Amino acid sequence: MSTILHRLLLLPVLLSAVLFSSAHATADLNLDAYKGKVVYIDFWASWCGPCKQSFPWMKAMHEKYNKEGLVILAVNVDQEKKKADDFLKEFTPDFPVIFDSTGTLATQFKVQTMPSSYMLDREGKPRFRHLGFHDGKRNVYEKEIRDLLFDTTKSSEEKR
Amino acid sequence: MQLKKSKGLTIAHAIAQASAVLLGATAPLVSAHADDHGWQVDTAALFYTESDSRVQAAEPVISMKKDMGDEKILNLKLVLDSLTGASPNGAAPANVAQIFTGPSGGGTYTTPAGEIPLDDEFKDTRAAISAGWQQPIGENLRLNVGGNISSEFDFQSVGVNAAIAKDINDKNTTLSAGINLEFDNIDPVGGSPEPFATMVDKVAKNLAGGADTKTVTDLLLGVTQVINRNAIVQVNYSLSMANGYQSDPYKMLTVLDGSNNLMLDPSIDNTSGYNLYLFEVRPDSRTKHSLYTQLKYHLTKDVIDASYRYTTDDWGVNSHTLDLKYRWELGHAMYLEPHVRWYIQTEADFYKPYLQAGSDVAIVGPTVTSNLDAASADPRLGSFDATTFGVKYGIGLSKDSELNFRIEKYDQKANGPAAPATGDLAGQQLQPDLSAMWLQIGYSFRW
Amino acid sequence: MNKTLVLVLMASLLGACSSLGVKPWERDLLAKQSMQFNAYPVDSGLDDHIYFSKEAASGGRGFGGGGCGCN
Repeated sequence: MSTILHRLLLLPVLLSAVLFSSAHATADLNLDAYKGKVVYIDFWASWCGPCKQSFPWMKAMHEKYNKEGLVILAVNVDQEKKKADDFLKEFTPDFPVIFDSTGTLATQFKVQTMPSSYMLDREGKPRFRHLGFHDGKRNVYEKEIRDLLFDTTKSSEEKR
Repeated sequence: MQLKKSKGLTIAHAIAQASAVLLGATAPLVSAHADDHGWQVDTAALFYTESDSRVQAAEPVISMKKDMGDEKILNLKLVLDSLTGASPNGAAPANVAQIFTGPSGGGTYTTPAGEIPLDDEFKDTRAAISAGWQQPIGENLRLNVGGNISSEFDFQSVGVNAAIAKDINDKNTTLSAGINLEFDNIDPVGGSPEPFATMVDKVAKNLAGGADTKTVTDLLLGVTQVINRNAIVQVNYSLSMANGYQSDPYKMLTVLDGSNNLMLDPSIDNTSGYNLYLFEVRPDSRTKHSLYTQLKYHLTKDVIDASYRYTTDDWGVNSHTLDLKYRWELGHAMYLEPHVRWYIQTEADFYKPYLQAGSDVAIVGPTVTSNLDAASADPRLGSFDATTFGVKYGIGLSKDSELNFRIEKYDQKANGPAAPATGDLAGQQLQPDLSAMWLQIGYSFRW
Repeated sequence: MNKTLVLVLMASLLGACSSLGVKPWERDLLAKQSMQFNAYPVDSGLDDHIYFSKEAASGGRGFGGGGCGCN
């Protein structure tokens, strides 16, 4: 995990670039709206098999922790929007979906495999990255969400 | 699919191919089906028929694949093969009728003048089972292991295979290496004949060996490369080494005398006046190299599939295969896929449509001795080119199921030597052409 | 067959490899079943068996790679 932290130190820089630069062809990831919340950014596609497992899980997490401050943002990288729409019709997420068909956000987040997710704590600091969605790791993923949601004291200590 | 007798020798490699296909098949479980841990089931029935009512076969197949979670995949396959018919026995067609004894030595059969001698009509059933397991063993590293068993009453085969695949360059490149080991037991009806035994000798002296065996070792190296969003290419090199009994125990060769006429078998046991035919012999070892490349190219909606294979071996057989398919998406989950395949091969060094007494065979009184180490008249080892034309139609019945129909027509044109201008074989086509057609009905679904 | 030629071919393919390819999120077409090398293993198994019984050459078909590259 520490290597991920090292790598993700770049992320706030990237995020600010996204926030402050103008003329984005597609996606705009305005994270200002989510200050104080734990943000789970998931890159998915209709053609990605494991995404069919991650979506029901994300829905469950949303249902369970949304009121506690968890925000899930599902970034779609399909090049054919109809395929993404069909997927959404089947999986009906309650969380926002952002369309990134040109892969601008995917490039900025340096997505290495599909699906990929990035978790930011309440201060907007990137804390965890998941390469792929692994069934057996659901509990680990959920624990990370809980850690970020409920251990705010811990994270402020880490800042020092 | 020849008659079981000669088919027995084909099963071994057929199973090896089945496992090689299995190795390829368990590469990434395609996206659409990784959701509910059910079985992806592919079933099909194949109906095969050859011209001149030679061989007919019906072959049901069931193949099942299950995502066990954590990128682990289990693969199972069962094939049943039921065939009837007859295939060339290796003797040359002649201007006169020829009589042959059956493999068990009991009955006889007659080939009319001008026809390719085919062995006795036959019925046989074969069953083959294969299983495979795939799982990650490291970062971007996958392992495949598998086994297979095949059985019919005169031939049994057992094999194991293993392969590893490594993804590099952001998974744009995949390096693969694999090995396949096979052990075959050949137990022909009436036993396998002594090398170059005569047809009369085999029956009279009951020269039956016990069962014979063969081992085959295959090594494969491959590279897969994504070119761009629309194209992916693969190059594979494989080495195959077979050792052991590789002759067809039921096939023989005609012997001609100095005037190019059929000869009476000189054995004192030849009370029925049969002609002289010698059972074939193939070398004990065979080393084969193969280079294969395949391209898949996605157009706006349709997909082109093109492949080329070159093989060469120490039996002198070289071959080129070019295979093209065009998958034409018709809309409404339907597709039409025309297919064409061109194949050409050179003959084996020891391929001979007949033997010549005096040079190939020494006859001293009642004793017949071969001067050759190996000889075979099996058309499979001759020089020929073959073309396949086919088309497949498929329709998706639901998100996870598909019904498809495929028909293929195969034509083999012999390029072998001409018959001698005089004598009993004059005017005959020594190496037969072959035409075959098959129809496959398939149904895939999730269970 | 020139074995060194084969090895050179494969080595050069490897060398060229690093400049070719797609980003992990651009594999939509590659993920389709119709784009897999052995898209219909039942078909190819049956055909390989037929060709094996009628021809002297056999095999050569390979392996993995391609697909969606997920997980």
